[in-house]
Amino acid sequence: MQFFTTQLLNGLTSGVVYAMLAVGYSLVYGILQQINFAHGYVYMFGTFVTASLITSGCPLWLAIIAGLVAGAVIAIAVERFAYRPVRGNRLAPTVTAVGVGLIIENVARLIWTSKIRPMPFPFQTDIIRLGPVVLSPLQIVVAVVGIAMAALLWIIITKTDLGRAMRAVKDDLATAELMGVPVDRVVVTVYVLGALFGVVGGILYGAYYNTLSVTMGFSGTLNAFTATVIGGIGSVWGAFAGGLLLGVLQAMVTGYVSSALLNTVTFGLLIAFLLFRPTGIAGVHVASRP
Amino acid sequence: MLLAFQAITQRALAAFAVTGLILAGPLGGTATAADDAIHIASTAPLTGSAAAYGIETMNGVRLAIEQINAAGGIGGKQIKLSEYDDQCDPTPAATAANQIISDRDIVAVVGNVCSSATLAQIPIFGRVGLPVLAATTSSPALSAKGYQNFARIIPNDDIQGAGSMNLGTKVLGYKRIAVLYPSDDYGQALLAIAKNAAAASGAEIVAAETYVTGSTNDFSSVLANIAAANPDALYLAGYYADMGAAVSQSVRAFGDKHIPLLANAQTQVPEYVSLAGAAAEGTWVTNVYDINNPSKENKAFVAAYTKKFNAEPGVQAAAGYDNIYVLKQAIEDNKGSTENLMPVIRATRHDGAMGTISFDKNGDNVGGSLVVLRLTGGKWVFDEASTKKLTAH
Amino acid sequence: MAEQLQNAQMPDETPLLQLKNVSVNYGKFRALTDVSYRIYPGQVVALLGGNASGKSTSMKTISGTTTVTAGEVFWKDELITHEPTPRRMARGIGVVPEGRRMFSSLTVLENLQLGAWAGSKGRATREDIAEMLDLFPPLKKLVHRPSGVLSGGEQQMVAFARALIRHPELVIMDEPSMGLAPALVKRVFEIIEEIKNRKIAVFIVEQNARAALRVADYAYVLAAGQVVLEGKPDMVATAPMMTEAYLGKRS
Repeated sequence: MQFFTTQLLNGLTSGVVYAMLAVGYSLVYGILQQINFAHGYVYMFGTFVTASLITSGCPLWLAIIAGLVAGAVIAIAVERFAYRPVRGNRLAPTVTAVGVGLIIENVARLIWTSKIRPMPFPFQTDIIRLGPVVLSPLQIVVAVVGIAMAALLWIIITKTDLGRAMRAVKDDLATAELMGVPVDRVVVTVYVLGALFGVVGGILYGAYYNTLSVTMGFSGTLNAFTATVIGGIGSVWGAFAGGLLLGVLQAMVTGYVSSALLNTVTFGLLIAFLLFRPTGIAGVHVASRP
Repeated sequence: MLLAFQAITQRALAAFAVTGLILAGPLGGTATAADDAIHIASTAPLTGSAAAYGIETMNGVRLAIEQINAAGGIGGKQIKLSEYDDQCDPTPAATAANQIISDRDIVAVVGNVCSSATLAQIPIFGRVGLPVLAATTSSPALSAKGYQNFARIIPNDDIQGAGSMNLGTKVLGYKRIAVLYPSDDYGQALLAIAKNAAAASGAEIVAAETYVTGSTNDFSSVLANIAAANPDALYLAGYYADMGAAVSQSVRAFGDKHIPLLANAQTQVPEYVSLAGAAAEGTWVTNVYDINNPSKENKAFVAAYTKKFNAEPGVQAAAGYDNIYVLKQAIEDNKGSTENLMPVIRATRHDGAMGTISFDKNGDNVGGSLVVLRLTGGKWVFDEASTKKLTAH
Repeated sequence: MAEQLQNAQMPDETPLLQLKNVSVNYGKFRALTDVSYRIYPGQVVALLGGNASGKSTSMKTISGTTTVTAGEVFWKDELITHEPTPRRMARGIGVVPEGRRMFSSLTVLENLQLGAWAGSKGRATREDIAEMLDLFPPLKKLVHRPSGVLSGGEQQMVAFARALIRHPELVIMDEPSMGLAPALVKRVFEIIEEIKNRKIAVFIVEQNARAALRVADYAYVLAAGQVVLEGKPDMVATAPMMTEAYLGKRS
């Protein structure tokens, strides 16, 4: 039972991180039916800004804000120069996104080198004992941030003008324009929101696992993308559900089956969902419109 | 001779237009048989991506030859060295080997750095029975093929890999070992070595957990498994960055319980320490060389090397240096003769800069030169007592 | 070239919206040739014509969703020929698009809120919403329903309310009666009358020429991308070419 609880907590923790990263895919896909292939690189860059500022002694709150701002600025630039010129085209944004992603990664390499770096953060070596279960204060931080971000997203999407406009753009972009909805601004905001969630996820990742690499934009994306597909690409709630489910499943496979099967399970799940349930557990049919 | 010279010149000019082939010719000129010297050849990467390793190795070789010649040579005979560039690439390596065997004065080949290049050369040297005493080639494949003309100075990867396990089981007395390894070939090979080493010393592998390098930095679940297995020690059989991340996360899995860490030479880098943080303190590492080894042989080597090259020697330089001294001792043991040298080399036992070098029947260093270091106060400190115990086995 | 039955539409005022000698080409195909419309404040202007006569291209020219090859578009005195769609529509134009085009996952209320927010006057007040629900009483029970599940007639009411809640100066309507039952068609034209009473200008493209001419103050008739007839509705209705082509023998 203690072991089960430990693995469950491990799984939920990584699940929250996956969910944060997955939101960037789901939001963009949900509203624009476009897989945001540059997402991983954008949140990687923001996270590195935060990590390097923390390392250089900048106050934590300032480093986090700077990372979020950096993520937002890059998301705006990527949208403006890589996505907007080819909006509506199915294939071209994929190509421009990968291209711009590689540019971001190479710039990151120039600034921070390819070295894998730690990310100092409070509570990293502290533990809390709850009976036989050992818990990290950072797991509580991850949980609180995860819940807060989910609540924030829910409010933005369901309660604000911007959220309404986002859903209107999703329903019918052309009519939204006819209504006078500033579609370009809404679209940028969608990318920025995705990037902000991604940077939050990246910072949680760096803080909890204490390891960052510029390649996280590419390789670290697999789990987030799998979570997105499991949850139902396009459904932001599915992204949360998919992230938590994948995190817990991975922890349970590692704990009760074998760590050697971890990637087999992850890839298997990704392929199985793509083949047999492309709408994910949320079951939202998002690809109904061209 | 004139024709040969022209051929070399033409080739050299042509090589200018291609790549570093210019160094494929002997740099020291062609010696004649009349000079009564001991002629040896070296083949190492002097250009290309592995050039830094090759050059450092050759510095060690050159230093030893200079010392020996200054002290009167081997049985009064000077050593003459011809250097060839194998570029760490099988094709130029084979070209160099063919040039070497065409020089009938050469009695031995030394200084090899790259396993792939050396694999291409050994059969060529074997045709004329020319012995190869390699410096830092470490692939087990070289000795596994049963070549009669091959021996090497540094312990191969398998022997190096078993070093940390042997330290844990034989020297430190741990009975229950957990292994954390990457799922790639490197990790699989180390896991197999760990299993063999555990079986040989009566210890048990109580957990073997793996991960995909580069795809995750989340070790929380595998560490929970390891903690649940209640091991005496954790063998870190992976890359330094992954190991650093895992160790930094281990506090959460193990709580206040201290778990001794055994690691590979891989891990003996500052990045491991900065990633793992305080949790890394006390990590044990075995390596093939340590500059701070206080043996008199190493102290003398480090002093001479630093004076001559104004740089600190690494394992490459030490292996190149010991390479020549092992050869010298073998020739002396062979009563000054350079005939049928390989059986004598394989029977040689030499206390060098690296440590005590001796060979098994395949020409592999049996591991008597391994060194033990421990992370103490954030620094890798040579552990003399453990080194002695490990190499005594 | 157009047969102009009355020259002076409203000579002293500045038109709210004006198309001046607009031509639109789609590749080699010329969809509009030298077309001019003027819509004055509070005036209902009908645009009539057969299939492929250039009606929808005219609408697209006004909304800015097509590129004008030649000519100019003015909003009051401002040249907006190349202004992006959202910006010009936010100037004070409400749209009742062809096929109603609900934001189907948004509730009725959210459709209205969005309509107001995307306009020139900003967020909908409680009064704005109450006013719309009074204007379209059947919507009162449906405010929290996703608009996608409503009937065609209900959706048409939402479409009108969504266009009106932003207090527009001009509402453009594209085939508002299309696909509706006769009773609802009647209701649509009552609503247009109501809009007219509120001094809001209307530009309506309509297949149902007879009904459109009944509410209109002025009408343009398109054929093959050109204005072939314009004038007061009664004059247009009685013009020989109209009685033959569009209104049938009955009148």
